[in-house]
Amino acid sequence: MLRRHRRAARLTLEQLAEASGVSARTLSDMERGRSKGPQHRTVTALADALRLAGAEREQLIELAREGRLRDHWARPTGLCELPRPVDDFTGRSAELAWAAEVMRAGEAGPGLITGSAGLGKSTLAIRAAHTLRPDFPDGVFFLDLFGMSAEPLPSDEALGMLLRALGLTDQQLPGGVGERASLYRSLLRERRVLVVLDNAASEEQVRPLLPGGGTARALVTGRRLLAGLEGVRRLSLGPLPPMEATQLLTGILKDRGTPDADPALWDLAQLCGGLPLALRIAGNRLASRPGWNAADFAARLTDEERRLDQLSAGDLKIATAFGLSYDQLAEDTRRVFRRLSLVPGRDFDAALSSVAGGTSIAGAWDALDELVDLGLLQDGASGRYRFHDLVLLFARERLRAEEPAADRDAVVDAVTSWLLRMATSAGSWFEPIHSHRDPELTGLSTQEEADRWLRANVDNWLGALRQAADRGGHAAVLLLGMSMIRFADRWMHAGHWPDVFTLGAKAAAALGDLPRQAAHLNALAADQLVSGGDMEAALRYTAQAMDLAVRGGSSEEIASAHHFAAGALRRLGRLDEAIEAQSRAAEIFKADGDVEAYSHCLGSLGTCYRDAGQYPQALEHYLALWDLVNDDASGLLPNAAAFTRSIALARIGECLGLLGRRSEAIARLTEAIVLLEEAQVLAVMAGALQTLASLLAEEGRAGESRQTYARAAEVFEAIGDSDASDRCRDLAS
Amino acid sequence: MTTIRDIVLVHGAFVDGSGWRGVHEELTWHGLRVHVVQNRALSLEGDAAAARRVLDGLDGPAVLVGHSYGGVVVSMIGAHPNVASLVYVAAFAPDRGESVGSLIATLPPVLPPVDGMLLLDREKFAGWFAADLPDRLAAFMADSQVPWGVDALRGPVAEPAWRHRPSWYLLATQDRMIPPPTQRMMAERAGSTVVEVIGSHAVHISQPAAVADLIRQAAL
Repeated sequence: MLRRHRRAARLTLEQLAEASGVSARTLSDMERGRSKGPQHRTVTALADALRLAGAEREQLIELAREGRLRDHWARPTGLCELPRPVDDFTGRSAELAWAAEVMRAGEAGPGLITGSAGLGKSTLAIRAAHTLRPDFPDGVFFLDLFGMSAEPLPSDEALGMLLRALGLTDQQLPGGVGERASLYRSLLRERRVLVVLDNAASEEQVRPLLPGGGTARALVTGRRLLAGLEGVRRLSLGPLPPMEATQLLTGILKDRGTPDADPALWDLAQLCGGLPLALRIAGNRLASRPGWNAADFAARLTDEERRLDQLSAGDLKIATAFGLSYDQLAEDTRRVFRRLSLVPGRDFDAALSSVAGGTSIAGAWDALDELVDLGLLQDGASGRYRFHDLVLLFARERLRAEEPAADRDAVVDAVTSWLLRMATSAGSWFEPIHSHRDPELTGLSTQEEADRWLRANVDNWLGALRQAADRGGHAAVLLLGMSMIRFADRWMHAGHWPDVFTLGAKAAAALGDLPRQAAHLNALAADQLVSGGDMEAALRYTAQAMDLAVRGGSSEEIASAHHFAAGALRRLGRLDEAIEAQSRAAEIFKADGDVEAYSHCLGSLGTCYRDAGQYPQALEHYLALWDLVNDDASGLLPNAAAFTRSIALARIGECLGLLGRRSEAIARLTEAIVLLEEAQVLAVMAGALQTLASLLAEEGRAGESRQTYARAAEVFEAIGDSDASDRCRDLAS
Repeated sequence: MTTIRDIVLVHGAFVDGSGWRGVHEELTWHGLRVHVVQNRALSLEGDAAAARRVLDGLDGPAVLVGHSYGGVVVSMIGAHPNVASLVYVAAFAPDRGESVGSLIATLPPVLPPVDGMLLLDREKFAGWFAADLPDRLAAFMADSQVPWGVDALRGPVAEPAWRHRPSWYLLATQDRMIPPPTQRMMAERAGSTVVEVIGSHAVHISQPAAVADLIRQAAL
């Protein structure tokens, strides 16, 4: 397409390069399709040079945007993936050598790169990590800890992300920080992995994320010294020296035909205080408007600095550099920029930007493109954008200065209500009846998309939820809470569920909605059970839920309260009470025709009887469950049936073994293991393999037993249970 | 806990207190009161007395900071009741009975003493002391050296303050006056929180923001 336009304009590559300021090599790459997602700035320069207007211009810009997005999506889906290094990284050779020395040193202590904002700590760490890749063949991971945001990433969530990046699934993640940290350490002990922990908030946040002894290393960045951490090598980063700062500017302007030896660049570098962030924004500003030269720009910065000289040295340089970029934006883009500072979460996409900015999606795209080109926003993976901390402060300051409080409140209201509606609608995808799916909201057309939206935007919708709760928006809070009850099963161990359901319960109470208040209390109990939390607390929740459900006349919530109470009682070893409660739950669910819940109760009853040593009753309940999941007319969803079938069969095999019916047990377990592997229920599969191996040994089938122990060891290792894995490996040899 | 508002800066050998200017600017901008001690550099006792007088005049706890030889002064008087914590900036942190003379094996290019006073070789000053400063500034510093008394060099410390106060250490990685391994050894035995900065011995002049940042952390 580009080539066609170029030929139509009768330009050679060189002529187009000259006219657009884009290098001939970049053009050639684009024409040959080697660079599919050129930056917006490049594309608009080309469109100008080709004198394209109207639909043709739109089409070229649209094509490039799709290319960029495809580039994002086509990247490996790897969690905690190391970002690409900046192309024009300049200087810092001593600092890179320092990082390499610390990361390669014999001692396992982490390295910390510290210093104030805008010095390029993250850029340096990312660059160093790329250079060190060959030393860490088992992987290089990157995690932003959001240390300077109002809500830094909690350690347990950070561990969850790292563990998933190391190959675990949600179901395999243990609940607490302690368990996660020890699993993380055991997985890293023998791997040559480098973990880059960017923007750390505190010792408490970082400590669980550091690999213990062994071959893995951590490189941390942050504003603070983290003096409480032991065995750390710390490097305090300074500004770029004048020569390197000038080189960085020269590099950014290279494609623009600015003479390399422009003495004004030296002045400009000095005015930016050698701060890479300020240098980049000033450089992008110059590059995007070829009409300005460095001398004009330096003169304006000097004036601006005089005007603002009550600010601190470093912040001042930065604010003036931002201000000059900001001032030249179109008012629409400026409005989007400053209003994005009201987004509650850490990052945002074009859809949320359009809501905040009060513009169309296409308008939001244009604004985001331009802001990224100028370095005022950073674009991350999958079409998401974020502010640098200092730029965020600047955007907030502009918003306060330029928009009256009433307008700001209106933006907050619009953003909050849109986020609540989106989250509620997304959550509804996981309910049996999708009652609150909002037809006006576009974007979510499958369960997977809803899942992805909820995870990617979690801090946005949580922020909106808290805001709505503070402002007494009970109805919206309650709807959102209800829509999350099912989704919470799918996203276990997320630390925010207690908050979500507590707010939901309060909203229900405020509205006098007893059944839904009970539903939220039941959800709180379920969260304690799933996370292996406080069982006494779970019982307090179910007691409250029971009381409310009885008063509100909701048999569904009465049954749920029995069901979750039974779960807590079983964990507390109060098996008779557990069996009693679970039986009542089963009766009610069965009578109400809630087959799925009834099937859970049957499984739980089997487990209670097994724990109590009453194997015949246990077997009886597992067999009842087996019949239910094999009944096509039961009404169970096929996915749920397949999942439950594999587990039921494994439990039947285990019970038969416990009853001494060894050969039947072996047959059932062998069959179950195939199903468990298909359904990827690895935790149950590991246990089933171990049981099968011991039964085979009792049968005198020593060779098969050893092979099965070896498989069990592998599966235990895959789920991070190294103790059980070691035990099985010993038995296999 | 009382808030720390005062910072006392003690300069090193061959230079005077004006080298703290960049650090002073950063710290005062953050609302701290900065006191720059001027050493006469004739004897350790004399310099210690000058710094002690400053500490005596304070009405609250302070961070006591020493650069280079200033670290000996800090180690000598840092247990003063008005001192909350210590910061060593590419500085000596002698243990009991040690002095500058006993801590460095090979002396930098110091000219033979004249009337008991030492100076660095002007030609070598920039390369050894101030390799990361602009040439003209380094040349001026070489020409405006403060002579250093041999007695100050030899003065031993009886009971180092770092045994009694928390300490921070800024290690200049390209220092030729006090080799980085010597800095590390002293920092580690003092149990200091160590921060490395890529810089020469004149790191307080070349990287004032990093130095001020460390001092502010010690004042938290």
